[in-house]
Amino acid sequence: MLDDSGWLTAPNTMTLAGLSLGVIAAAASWFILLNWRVRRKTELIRRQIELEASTERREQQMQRMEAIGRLAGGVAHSFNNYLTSILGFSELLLESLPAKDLSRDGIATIHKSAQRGTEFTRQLYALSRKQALQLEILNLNTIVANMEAVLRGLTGERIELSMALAEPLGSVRTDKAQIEQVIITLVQTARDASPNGGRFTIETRNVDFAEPFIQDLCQLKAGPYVRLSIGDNGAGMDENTRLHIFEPFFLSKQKSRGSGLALALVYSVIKQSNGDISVASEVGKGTTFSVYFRRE
Amino acid sequence: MAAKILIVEDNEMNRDMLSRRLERRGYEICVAGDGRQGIEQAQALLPDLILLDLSLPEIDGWEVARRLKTTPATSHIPIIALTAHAMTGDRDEAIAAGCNDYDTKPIEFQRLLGKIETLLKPAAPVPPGITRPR
Repeated sequence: MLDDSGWLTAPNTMTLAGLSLGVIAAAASWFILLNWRVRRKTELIRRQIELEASTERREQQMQRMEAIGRLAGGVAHSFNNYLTSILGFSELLLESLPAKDLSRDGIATIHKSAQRGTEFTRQLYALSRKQALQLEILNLNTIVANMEAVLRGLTGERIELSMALAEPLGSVRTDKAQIEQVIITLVQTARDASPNGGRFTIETRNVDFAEPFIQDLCQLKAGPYVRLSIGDNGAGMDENTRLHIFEPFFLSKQKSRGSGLALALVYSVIKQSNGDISVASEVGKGTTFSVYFRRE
Repeated sequence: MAAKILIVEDNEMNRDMLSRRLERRGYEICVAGDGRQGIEQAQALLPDLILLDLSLPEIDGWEVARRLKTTPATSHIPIIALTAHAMTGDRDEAIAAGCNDYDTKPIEFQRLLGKIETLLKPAAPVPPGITRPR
């Protein structure tokens, strides 16, 4: 170190301490900065991996649903041919046999079963997303309000059903009969998840997405929508169930009621009507299905 | 004189079932098991009506309908398309191919009979020079 006259002198203790502190402080700052950068980079990579994994999972799931639809359509086509013979020949026999013939009951049962099969193939066709829909401009509040008595009948006394219908609500373009069936199925699903009763909420509102909304299979472009939500505080579901909930026969494996096609049909009908559906659920807390239609 | 119906259907059981049920109602029935045979039978027998399955081997039902409707000798014959598909697109395509009506499988026999009777009632005008064999 140089003194005022330019001679080299030994540094005093204070100066050394100051220097050391400066170096330590600089090193600490550098370390903190480095640590922050590494953490930030790690977090970005983790998010990217998660995003890619979830996009891949969603694409796989959508391809799976498409394949299921095609398979359902093919199966229904073949079955309709078989059912044509079964129904036709059993009708032919019933026409031929005397009224008191003992075989009539058995043949009538075959005929009845084949007719049920016809209804089942109709549902399978619906899954192949090629059925004819009567699309019209509708107000979901009117539909829900007109269905209130039916829905209260479905839920029974142990379930408290409340409605929160936003006014004014935008119009949507969909099939009235199909959306009514969608609402009934979703309420039945909620009821099945609430064997001990509970609280259900049916809510409508206008929502606007500034950015695309993506959640599991639900993919909406940015824009104005009408949302119809049906929520319960029942058993809820885990992530695996939530991801597969719209696959045919998935819930039937878990001892749900019905044909096992109900939620698959809901998904299919909503997709055909240019709408989409998302599910939010937590085990023990409940589930909310949200149906979105573009606001007209 | 019994009206003659040609059933063009590749499924043997369905063909047999329809033949028996329609014969019971007094119709004269002839059958074909694929599209090519269907065209040949229609041209040779000139039936009063054709029940045409759309999913056929050799030549599909839509093409059979197009060829029969563009051939002067057979263009007047009413065709009811039958299919195991139950989609509106199919109906539109069948009508566009020249079919007069459409029904879906499984067949509801009374409904089909109604369609057959409606199409047979006002005797379709036969083009000049064509004699309908009975």
